[in-house]
Amino acid sequence: MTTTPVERPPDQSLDDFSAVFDAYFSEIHRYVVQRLGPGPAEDVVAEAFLTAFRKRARYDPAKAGVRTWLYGIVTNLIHKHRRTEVRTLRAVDRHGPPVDAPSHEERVAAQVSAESLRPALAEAIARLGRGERDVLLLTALAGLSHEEIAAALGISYGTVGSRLSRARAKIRAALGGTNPMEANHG
Amino acid sequence: MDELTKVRELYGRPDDDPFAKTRVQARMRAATRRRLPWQAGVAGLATAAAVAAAVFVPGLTTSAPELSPSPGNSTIALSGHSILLAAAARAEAAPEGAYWHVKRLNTIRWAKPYGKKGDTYQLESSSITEDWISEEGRAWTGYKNLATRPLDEEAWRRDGSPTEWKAERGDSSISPSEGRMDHGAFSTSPGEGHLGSFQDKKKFRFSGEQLTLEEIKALPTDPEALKNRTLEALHVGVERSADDHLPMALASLLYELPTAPEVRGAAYRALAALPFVKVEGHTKDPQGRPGVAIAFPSLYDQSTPNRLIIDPDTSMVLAFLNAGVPDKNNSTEVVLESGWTDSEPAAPSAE
Repeated sequence: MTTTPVERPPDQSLDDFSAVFDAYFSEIHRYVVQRLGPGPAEDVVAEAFLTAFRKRARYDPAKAGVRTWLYGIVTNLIHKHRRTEVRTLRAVDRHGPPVDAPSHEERVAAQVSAESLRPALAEAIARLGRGERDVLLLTALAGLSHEEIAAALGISYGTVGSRLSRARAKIRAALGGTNPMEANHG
Repeated sequence: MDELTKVRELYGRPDDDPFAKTRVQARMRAATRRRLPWQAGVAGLATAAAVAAAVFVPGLTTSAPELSPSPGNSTIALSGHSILLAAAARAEAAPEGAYWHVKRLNTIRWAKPYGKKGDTYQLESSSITEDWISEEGRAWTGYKNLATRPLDEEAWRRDGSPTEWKAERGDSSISPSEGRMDHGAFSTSPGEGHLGSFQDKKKFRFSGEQLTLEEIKALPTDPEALKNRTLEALHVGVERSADDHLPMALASLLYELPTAPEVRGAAYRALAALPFVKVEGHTKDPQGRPGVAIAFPSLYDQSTPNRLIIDPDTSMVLAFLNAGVPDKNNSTEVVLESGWTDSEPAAPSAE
């Protein structure tokens, strides 16, 4: 039922900010809904685009694509809602899927996973350090590459890699895999 | 399965809320004294919505059935309006049961081509979803992927007859949000059926609001009051675009939400009273079941209306069609079953 207008993604230009908003709204909004739930997401996304517009003069296309840059801005804003995020994760644990029975395209992609894994996995993500969680979710949910995450968060490529492997090791351990300390060596 | 896949599955893919964008724009306007800072003059973001509201392509709406009975024929051709009113009366008389149950078949024709250069083809994927809500508000959701099929079998054979495809991010011909299908894979074999339950009370999305079962049941049974309540649910300080969303929101009351029979009746009556909702006449749904098509303007694409196919004899919605847009993923939603039932929730097995 949901459609978005067909449009060309802006060619890494902020001149037409309305086109930037149209092109990236759905994706950025979905990412924030996943992390914070639908209610807080609207405030955060509104603030993110207004922030982006205010800071557009500081955007450097040589460093990051517009999409990457927007993920960086919105990730910073998500930090103000850490408690909401943790609560959302723990609610996943109680309610099953955090979303209102997805439909259409979403449903095709989303697999209903083994219910028994949910509590441990959600708890493990809730317990990750902020930086680890950002890198994990920008990878898993937003599909950003190491380079893009480094640019979005203003950290080095190496830090992205080490945070991601720490996050993965902790999750593996929480799901009954290997000890995170050992996994770091492997 | 690696951790990243598990994380993705944990988070799932939130339903794209068609009203979220409008509400976020309203918040931004509120924060910037009504005009979006990047909006020069009066045009800008409001334009697409305004166009969608104003235009309805005449060629698609000419088939309004005639009012007069055909001579020598005992059946009376009902007007579009009275078809909806008849459906309303049926809806009010529909039986109740222990669970509200909706079983749907969703089919998507992906715009993005698959295969290798020169031998590309489109994929059509489908899945069955089932939802149950008990009278006390407990909810279950079931899900099963069906086989994905290539639309051009010749090209698919030349591509080496693959049985699995990694769902990839789209190219620039589709919008970034739709292209972001890098979460899953398509397979020519059907998946397993899953059933999950929500242990706490589930909330239901009605336009822009999240309602409890009690609130859904308490929706107005008077058509005008229901329309106003729906507008209120749509409206978060947005001035003009509510009308565009109204038919879709009313349609959700007809088959998606566990509404009381009187509310479904009122939703049909409210739809019948909307000037831009057109009854196109008899047709068949994608499953070949006979029904009546009702068209209303699509939010974003004024040339192709959305269509709801209903069975006027039972008042049941048979299908929702959002199709025919070039370079877009065309989706159809077929409602295989909808209504109150006493059968227990179970993982979907087959169609």
